[in-house]
Amino acid sequence: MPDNEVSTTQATQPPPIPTKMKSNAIDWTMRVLAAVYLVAVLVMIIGYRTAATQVFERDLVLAVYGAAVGAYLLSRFFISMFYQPHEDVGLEPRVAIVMPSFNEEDAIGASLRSLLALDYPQEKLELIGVNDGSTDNTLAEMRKVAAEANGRVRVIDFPENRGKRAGMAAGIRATTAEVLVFVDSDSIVEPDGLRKLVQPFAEEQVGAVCGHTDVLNADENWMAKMQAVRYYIAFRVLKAAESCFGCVTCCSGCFSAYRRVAIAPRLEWWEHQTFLEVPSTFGDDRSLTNCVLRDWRVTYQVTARSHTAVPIRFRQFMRQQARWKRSWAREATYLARLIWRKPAPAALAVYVGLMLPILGPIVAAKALLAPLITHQGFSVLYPFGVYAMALTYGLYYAACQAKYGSRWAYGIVFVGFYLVFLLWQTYWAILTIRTAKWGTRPATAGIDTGHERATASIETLESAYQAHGTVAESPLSPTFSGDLARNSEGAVVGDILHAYPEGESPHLRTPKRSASARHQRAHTPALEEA
Amino acid sequence: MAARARSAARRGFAIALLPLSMVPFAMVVPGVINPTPHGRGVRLHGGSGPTPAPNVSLTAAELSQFTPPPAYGGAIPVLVFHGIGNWQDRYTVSQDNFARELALLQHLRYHTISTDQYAAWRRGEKVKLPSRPILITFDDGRFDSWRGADRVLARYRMRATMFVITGPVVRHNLFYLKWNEIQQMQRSGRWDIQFHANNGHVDVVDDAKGNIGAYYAVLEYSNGHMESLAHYRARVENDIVTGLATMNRHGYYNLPTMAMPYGEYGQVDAHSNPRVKPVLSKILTKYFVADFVQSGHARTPYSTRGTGRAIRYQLHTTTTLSELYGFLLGEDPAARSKLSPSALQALTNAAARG
Repeated sequence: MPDNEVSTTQATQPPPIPTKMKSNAIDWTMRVLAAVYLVAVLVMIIGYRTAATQVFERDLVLAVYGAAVGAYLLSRFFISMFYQPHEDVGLEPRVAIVMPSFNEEDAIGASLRSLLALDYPQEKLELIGVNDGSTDNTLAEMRKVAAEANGRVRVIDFPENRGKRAGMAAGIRATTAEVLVFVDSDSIVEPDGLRKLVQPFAEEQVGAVCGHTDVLNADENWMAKMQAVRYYIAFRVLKAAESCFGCVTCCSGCFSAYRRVAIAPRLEWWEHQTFLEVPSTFGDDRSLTNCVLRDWRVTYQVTARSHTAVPIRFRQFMRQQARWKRSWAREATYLARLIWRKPAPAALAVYVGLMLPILGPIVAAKALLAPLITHQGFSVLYPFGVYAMALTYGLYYAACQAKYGSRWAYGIVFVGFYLVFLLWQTYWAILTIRTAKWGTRPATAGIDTGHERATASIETLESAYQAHGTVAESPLSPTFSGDLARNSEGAVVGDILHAYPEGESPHLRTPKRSASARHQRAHTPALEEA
Repeated sequence: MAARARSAARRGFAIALLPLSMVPFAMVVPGVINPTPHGRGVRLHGGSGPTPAPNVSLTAAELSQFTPPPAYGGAIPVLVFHGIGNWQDRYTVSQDNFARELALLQHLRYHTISTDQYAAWRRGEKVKLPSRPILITFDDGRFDSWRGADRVLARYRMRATMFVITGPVVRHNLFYLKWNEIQQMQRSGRWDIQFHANNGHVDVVDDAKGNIGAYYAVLEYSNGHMESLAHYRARVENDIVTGLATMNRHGYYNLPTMAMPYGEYGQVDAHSNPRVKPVLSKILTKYFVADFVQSGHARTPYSTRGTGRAIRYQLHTTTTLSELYGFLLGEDPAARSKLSPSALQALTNAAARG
């Protein structure tokens, strides 16, 4: 275990929040070119679809699928153009940020401190740290921060590991705040993020708000770069389009807010959710969104920004994606039963969005693999359709970023990666949907049986409070946790088209964490097997 | 300094990515949007190999109406197609129609023969022929012919001859078969590969007014002069020799037949100098046992023994089974007398349309 002497603020030096850049003349030129090019590609897709119908006369599946994908993609881009963030109307409800934590002694202190420093009235912001039976010094770190925070940080301690949902639920029960905010321990929130996030609640029908999340470690390697494009499209296009109808289907666990009264009636159910008789351990964010979506509007607030670290190793990434897909498939069964109450375009998009990932592998296999077996020749139609789609993602990204760089091209890399690796995961994920393992971490925090209610010991530690200023000056230090990271969940899967994430938390690997992970593995074999 | 250079290089690379990303489109788009029949991008739309044979069948009425014509009586019917696909351009036959035509041939108990059999038969050699032999040919070496016809031929256990153009212009056009595809066809055992033209599958200017005529059929007018007959002979013979050499280079040595580009040897074009025909015939006879031309007329005669010109029946986009049947009955009055009145009427109409 790491030394206790290492203070929390020094423990991990996370990358700072990326500073906002300004476009110079070259950037503007390239962005405009990218935008023009994007429009040209979209026009080309439409033109080709209408012109080349004869191609499909012998291949109905490809025809229907292609049309559906094209229409879906174009409609997402089109609708998202009408998206407007909620204005800052000066709303300042009482907010509680709940942060369950499992074995994150290195990071939890910095995480909590950075949240304390958010630009929000002190008396209206409360932090609830839930120690989920950590075997390290997480609890002590939480208490240390609480002691400094003049009653603004509450600590809930579970004597044993009960799982993320239990931690979140205990946190919710421990506060009376009107708005509950969940921030992933691997995410950092921009100083004005929280204020922006709660503004949509000015609208009475809004039950939940999803913040915007960018990739924090985007320059780390190619895998992080492609996820950066993916996140951007997932939020700025897909969630924005859903938000136009108040139907965001997954409030990313990275940074989201819920109206207390919206989740209260379903809290019990959500905490002990089971699916096919297995407790649902992951996908808490998607599941919680579903609880709210039935009776409330759920919106996306692009101005509420957070940054999250994403997996940069193949195995981690694949496991994360498998988990997303499982929770996607599980939650789809609920979503499909409630979304028809919503505006027809939103419902239709959801149903199409649910079908495409199921059809995707079949069509891809038919287009790419069948020619190898039947020797009937390989059509470039499918690959070029995929390429055109990938290009629209990349170009959209390039046009929207202040600084023009090469990162947008990783959008194409991502779609290629999706086609080769991720597309085929869908069926596997559905077949193994009862799996409760997180996959990315050796100790599966909380395979909650659902029979035991958590009895949390709530402690509000009061202690000498240091001047708020000192806290504010402390660097934003998100926690970077490795395989042991607590995680929020969300998934979009599917087809290449909506192969964009809903929200997720990252697993950044640091050597230190790996050591700690090994330690955990050695000590918690039983949990892993569960 | 180095850091600045690196940053500039990164910037340059990022900027270059935008045009680079267009390269895949640049490769595909011309084939897709090119409006000429010879650049429709059939590969891009439909895949790079043969498509499955459609399931077609003749109706009961057709089966009873079309009865097998008399067996081989010294002449062999030869059919020519130009392409298989869905464009309504007169020359291209849809895959369904092609399949129905082969179904009719099968119903009429025709058996396709190879180019070798045909050539041997033309030369008067002793050759074993089926009771109702027929030769199916394709002109131009179009990709869509292979794509649409191959599996249909396989289904009906038939074979065909493909006349390919060897010139570099055609070789670089995706509309036409690539050499590796031609070899694949040959290996399938369903196709014989024969010579069509090298650079000669084009029109040339044939008078001072700028009128044009087929490369093989007219004297070329250039630089204010009409070429001499000797020059014509050299030009045409050179095209044939170059083309045959190219065929040889790709492993094709057995080339007894040739199809005239456009089926034109001067019989159609009024500009053609009457002195061209005998010269051309002489050249063709020197190299080939048969040079094919075509006619869409329902009364097209069968091909007979001997050397020189051989006539084929050309199937169009709109050719009906009755018309094809009319040709297959040949000129035999006995066969025609057996036709039902309606079928005979259809034949007469077809013949009238010519």
